[in-house]
Amino acid sequence: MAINNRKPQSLNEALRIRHDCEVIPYMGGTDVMVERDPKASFLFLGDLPELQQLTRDAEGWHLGSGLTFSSLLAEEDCPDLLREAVSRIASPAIRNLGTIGGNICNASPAGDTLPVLLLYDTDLVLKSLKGERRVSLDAFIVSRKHIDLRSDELLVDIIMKPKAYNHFYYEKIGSRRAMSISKIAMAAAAEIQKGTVADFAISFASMYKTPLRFKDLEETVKGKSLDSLEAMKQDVVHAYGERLNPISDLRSTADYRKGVSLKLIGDFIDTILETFGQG
Amino acid sequence: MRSMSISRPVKRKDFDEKISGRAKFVDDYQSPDYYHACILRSERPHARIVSINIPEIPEDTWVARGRDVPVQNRVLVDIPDQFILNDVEVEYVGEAILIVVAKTKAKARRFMEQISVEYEDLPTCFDVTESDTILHDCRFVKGDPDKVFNEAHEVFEEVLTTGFQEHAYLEPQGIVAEYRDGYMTVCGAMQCPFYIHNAIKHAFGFDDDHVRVIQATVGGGFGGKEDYPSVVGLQAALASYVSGKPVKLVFDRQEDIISTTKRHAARMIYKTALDEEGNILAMDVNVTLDGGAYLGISTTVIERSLVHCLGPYVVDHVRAYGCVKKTNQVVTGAFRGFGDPQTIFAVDTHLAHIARHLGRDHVEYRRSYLAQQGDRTATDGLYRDPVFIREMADKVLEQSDYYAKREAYSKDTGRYRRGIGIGFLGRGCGFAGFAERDFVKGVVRIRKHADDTVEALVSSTDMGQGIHTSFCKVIAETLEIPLSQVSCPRPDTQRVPNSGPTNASRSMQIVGRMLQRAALRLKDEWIPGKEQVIEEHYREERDAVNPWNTKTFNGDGFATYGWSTTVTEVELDTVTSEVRLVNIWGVFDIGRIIDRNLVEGQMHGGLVQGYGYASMEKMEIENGVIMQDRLNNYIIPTAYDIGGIHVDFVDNPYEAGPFGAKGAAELPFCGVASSYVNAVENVTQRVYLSIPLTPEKIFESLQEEV
Amino acid sequence: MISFVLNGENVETASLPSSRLLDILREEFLLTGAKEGCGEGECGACSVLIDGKLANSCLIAVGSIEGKKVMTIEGFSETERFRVLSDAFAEVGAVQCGFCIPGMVLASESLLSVCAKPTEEEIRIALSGNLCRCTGYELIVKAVQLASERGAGTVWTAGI
Ligand SMILES: Cc1cc2nc3c(=O)[nH]c(=O)nc-3n(C[C@H](O)[C@H](O)[C@H](O)COP(=O)(O)OP(=O)(O)OC[C@H]3O[C@@H](n4cnc5c(N)ncnc54)[C@H](O)[C@@H]3O)c2cc1C
Ligand code: FES
Ligand code: FES
Repeated sequence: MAINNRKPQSLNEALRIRHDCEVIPYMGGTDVMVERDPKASFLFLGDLPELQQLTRDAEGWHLGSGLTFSSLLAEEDCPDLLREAVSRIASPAIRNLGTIGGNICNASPAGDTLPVLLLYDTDLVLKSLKGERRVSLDAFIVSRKHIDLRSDELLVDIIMKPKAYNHFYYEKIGSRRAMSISKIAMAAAAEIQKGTVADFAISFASMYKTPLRFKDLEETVKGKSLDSLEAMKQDVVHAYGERLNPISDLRSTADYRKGVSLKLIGDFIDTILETFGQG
Repeated sequence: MRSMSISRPVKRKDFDEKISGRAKFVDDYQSPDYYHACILRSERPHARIVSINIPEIPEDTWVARGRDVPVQNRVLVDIPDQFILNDVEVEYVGEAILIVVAKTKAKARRFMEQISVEYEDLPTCFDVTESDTILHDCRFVKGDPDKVFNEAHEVFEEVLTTGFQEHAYLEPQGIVAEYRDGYMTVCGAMQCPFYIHNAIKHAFGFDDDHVRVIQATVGGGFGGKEDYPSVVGLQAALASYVSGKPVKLVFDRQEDIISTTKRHAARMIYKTALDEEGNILAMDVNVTLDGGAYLGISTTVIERSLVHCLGPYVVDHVRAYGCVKKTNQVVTGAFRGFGDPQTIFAVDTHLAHIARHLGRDHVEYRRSYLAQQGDRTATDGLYRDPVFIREMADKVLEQSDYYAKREAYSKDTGRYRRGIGIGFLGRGCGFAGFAERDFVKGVVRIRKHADDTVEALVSSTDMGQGIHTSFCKVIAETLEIPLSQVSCPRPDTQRVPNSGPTNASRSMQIVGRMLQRAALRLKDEWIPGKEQVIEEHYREERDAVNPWNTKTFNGDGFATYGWSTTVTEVELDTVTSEVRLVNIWGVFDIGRIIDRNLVEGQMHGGLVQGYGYASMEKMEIENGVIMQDRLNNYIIPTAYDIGGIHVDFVDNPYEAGPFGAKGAAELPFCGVASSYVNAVENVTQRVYLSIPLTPEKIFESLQEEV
Repeated sequence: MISFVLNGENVETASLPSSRLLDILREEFLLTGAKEGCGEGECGACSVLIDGKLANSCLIAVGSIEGKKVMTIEGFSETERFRVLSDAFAEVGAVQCGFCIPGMVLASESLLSVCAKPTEEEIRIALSGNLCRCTGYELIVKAVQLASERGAGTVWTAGI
């Protein structure tokens, strides 16, 4: 019914409608309109000023869930790794519409911002009339297209935690150079202090039902010297190889996904060694 | 020599309406009177339809079935084989079963979704190597291959394969039909109005005057709107016939991809007899095309594959066999190149592989077999016109700085490594043999109005290639009048004669020539202020040297040939196996250029489509279901995938073409695949036998030791 | 009722807010310059400008654009900026079948309105969501370059 298609003026009004009616949150619409149900009742959130802010404080970066990819690219404060990932999404027109909140809530295996957000131990703030709760992104994405969101809640704030990373790596592999759902997306970052790996993190999208990050494997690298990193490179790659069990689909094969992601991990380690190593 | 002013570019006639969005494509025709049709399609690759359960049909809604077709429920193109609607035994997923007509598309769809079909599955076949149904085959022999093979020092054998390809014209197919007072009028997206005209007459039993077919502005065809619109046209016509309403049938993208024709996937076995020095003595070629569920127009496609099985090369002893096999998959049909991109890819790649096997330079090796004027074609015809392919090779090698780059790139060591490759091709222009004389019998008309404006009346369609503008140029140039005085309307079968279909790169060479002759006559007979009509019929302008024999496949396959050579420069990411197209160069012999801009546009478009075919355009059919069925998974190149494109031409006027022009539009497409594969091989030092050459295949090849 | 500004005029629609903007433009306002090539954001044939930014009208529920400014090719073709682009497209011969062209023109405009002197790479990225199967993009890219040279300092920097 038309009456249920609402364009609220404020977040509070939006939360009220969300509470009272059965509506589908609609941010940029680039996911909901593809699988469109013509009878759907949408709650149009795209223009809510409360959801458009990007700020930084001791807690980290606060990204409003309604920030479009284009506005993120225009934000000076947007973390570099996120900017890199966002710049490779779809096309200019889709980037004008699609939002980071939509990318998270859509929980597609191929959500390109997700690996970056995972590297920053991102928390999500979910609001309802009753109040708000905070969950980690990791916990929020339950499975493919399945999220821990209650029927009266909206995602409002995305908090990327501060990290001292000083080395970044991002690779999106699609079927072509633009306008392409990823076959593999890998975000990685490290903090190297005085020849030692202080922090090390790798995350993937498009490999599995959910984005992936293996913190236990990262632990095996942390605290190691660059020399040891060099020595253990093959073991690290091998360890990931034991854990990565990618899908085959109409875009790519499991063999390719696995083989290439392991090469990317090796390459990531090489770039650390090149950047911070003696030579 | 005739002036080159004809080549100077002009603003195309339909430019203003297209750039401003005013041009009317079929879906842009709107009327409150229209009804809309939806087609219920088979979900099974091969099944007997046991029953169809149709709920009570609401008012203002109709269901059309195959039995409603008054004369024959078949689509006549070459032969009447496919069904307009098939509710007896479906042969592929996506085959049309019945049509629902209602006031809106949504209503038609809603009703259609309530219809259920009970199927009884029948045995299926999805693999040509397992299929035992040959839909059509053909063969030829030149020289004495048996003897030569017996005496050969060595036989080098390869199996090369090419995939299905989707046309991906930006405008999906559609037709509006109106049956009223015994007259059937259809209008829409099509390349060949008289194909549809014929098909409707055949199925409905109407005479010429009661069928009218009008072309709307067409959003790209590439062969996809050659044969298939006869199916769409008949379906729309039947929907209108049954409902008595004007009916619009426009596909959405997914429906378009699953139901319309594709380029034939091919499996080609090449065996080459070599002597001790590595000279080629003879070739044995075996081509199998996947025809899908019905023959359609595949007869001509396999014949074209076969007569081009040597590409631009000359070999004295040849044995060739080709067949189209049936599978329970979507029907394959016309697509830019029409059967020869497959064999041209195969033969060119095969020759490069022979050179590699012999440790010879593949450019020099292939070059030494390139045809020259006076050489014999695969079918023992004569290359009678000047052939400049060797000069073109020199030109493209120089323009691309091929040798220096090849040398430099061989030292690349980093993550990103470049490579460069080359391909050669020659292909017949227009229809094979005496088809123009004996079957098409094209006619054109020029009408001069009393105000001395001149109209070209032809059935050739402009689907973007700009042929109507080029026709106007030929006429204006001949009559020495301003271009603005000449027009060429979109064909309407009630107004234009049948000048033949728009395919095979024949429009300028054949129809343009007839228009030129008509214009010359008009010039002689010109009476200012008077209405005059001139009609011209096709005639052979040169006698064949070795007349084509359809039975033995011997003789001059084509009146003349087009030539090209393509250099491709790529960059391989050794970590991800992704390949970036850095540059592509093409040098073409299309006779004389009629309009530089239009021709360059054709070359660019063909090269990029050929690049897609070679690299990323993967279409997999699993158990009869097309996996890549939308534009988000059937991947064609974007603007960002293309590096520099550089095209150049040799001026080689064809004596029997208008102002020296000959076939052009298919040429650029056909030569990219072998050039691209050659470039990737140059980087990886591996051998590839199939396209599309995806990163997945390259990655796999790199796992193996050289 | 949903109201928005269409090519400079205030308009209203009584359609369901979940209706696609593309359908509203084509069927209700009879503006058929925006085309449906895919219906899922992939081809750009349905491109329009919303508040000056390029968007795929097939992905937009009309309820989401309440109060916004929508510009279609029909409206844009009335502007001086269009003329510069159109002349450049004509001169280099960038148009073939024309199905992608309204979208291409609007994509070009959305680039040139924020970046008067784009590099070739910037142009290719700006057009990367607009598929064209006919031209190989080469002459379209050239046309945008030409328009940017022609309009530099005068038309483009004037803004809308
Ligand atoms: C052509 C095309 C190409 C694409 N390419 C890419 C790509 O390269 N990489 C990529 O990652 N994605 C891609 N996408 C997917 C899509 O653009 C992204 O997922 C985008 O981030 C979705 O954002 P949106 O605002 O449009 O989401 P919407 O469609 O508005 O919403 C997405 C989902 O999130 C829910 N939702 C939205 N906001 C909230 C909220 N505040 N609270 C709770 N639930 C909410 C919606 O109900 C819906 O289920 C592509 C899509 C298209 C159409
Ligand atoms: S129709 Fe909207 S992007 Fe293709
Ligand atoms: S001109 Fe035909 S799709 Fe671009």
